[in-house]
Amino acid sequence: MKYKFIPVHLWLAVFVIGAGFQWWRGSKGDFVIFGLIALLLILSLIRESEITYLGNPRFVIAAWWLALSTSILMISQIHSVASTVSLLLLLPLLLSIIWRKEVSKHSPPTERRRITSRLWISLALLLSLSEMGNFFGSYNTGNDLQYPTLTVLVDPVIYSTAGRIVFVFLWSLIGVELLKGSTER
Amino acid sequence: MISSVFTLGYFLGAIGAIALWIFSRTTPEKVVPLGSLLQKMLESRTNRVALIGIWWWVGWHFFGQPGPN
Repeated sequence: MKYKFIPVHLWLAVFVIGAGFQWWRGSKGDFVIFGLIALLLILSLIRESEITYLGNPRFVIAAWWLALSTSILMISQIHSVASTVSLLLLLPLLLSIIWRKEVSKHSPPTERRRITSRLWISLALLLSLSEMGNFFGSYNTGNDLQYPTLTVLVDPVIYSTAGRIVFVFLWSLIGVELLKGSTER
Repeated sequence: MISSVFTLGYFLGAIGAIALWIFSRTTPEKVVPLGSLLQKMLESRTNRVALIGIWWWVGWHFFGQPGPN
């Protein structure tokens, strides 16, 4: 059996609960996104090795594609048509990376890897719980200054040009790491 | 009081992430560097779906979707 850092059913729980939460808070667009990711997870679980891949993108092509999208995001207004289109244009690339030809390099985890994974997961949980606490705090009290979610904290920064460029840059750096690990050099 | 605990969580999470990232770069024999860990994780399609999905959604949430957020 292949080793998985995080079993698919845990990922599935995250996205199904996330989709339910987005529906409950009235964000239909986010509900659709979380639901589609959950469906992709189910698809990858039930037919992992049989789906024909769309291609095996090379890193340099993926990086240029991301750079183009990032440049548009940097010069466009937040929540504008241009920034939305640039994000949508990333989807074909991301889908082809997700469904690339599988490379059978699965190996059992070392103790070092297991510890590191747990440390990162703990930090992600801390951030998620803080976000949840502040979300329900502001929902119950109607005071999002006393209980600021990440969106409330970040939005004023990314509405300025400099703040937007910095945040888009940081976001794209994470994207580069994801592309590096998912494409051929 | 409770509100500051939750907000403190953001800062502790961010500081913890930076510290862990630096620690993994300086002492890779103890903690696996983030890039190597991600590379190993991304060998699995389900991890790719989840991690790339979360990353794209963050971009969509903060920068995309026209109209009021």
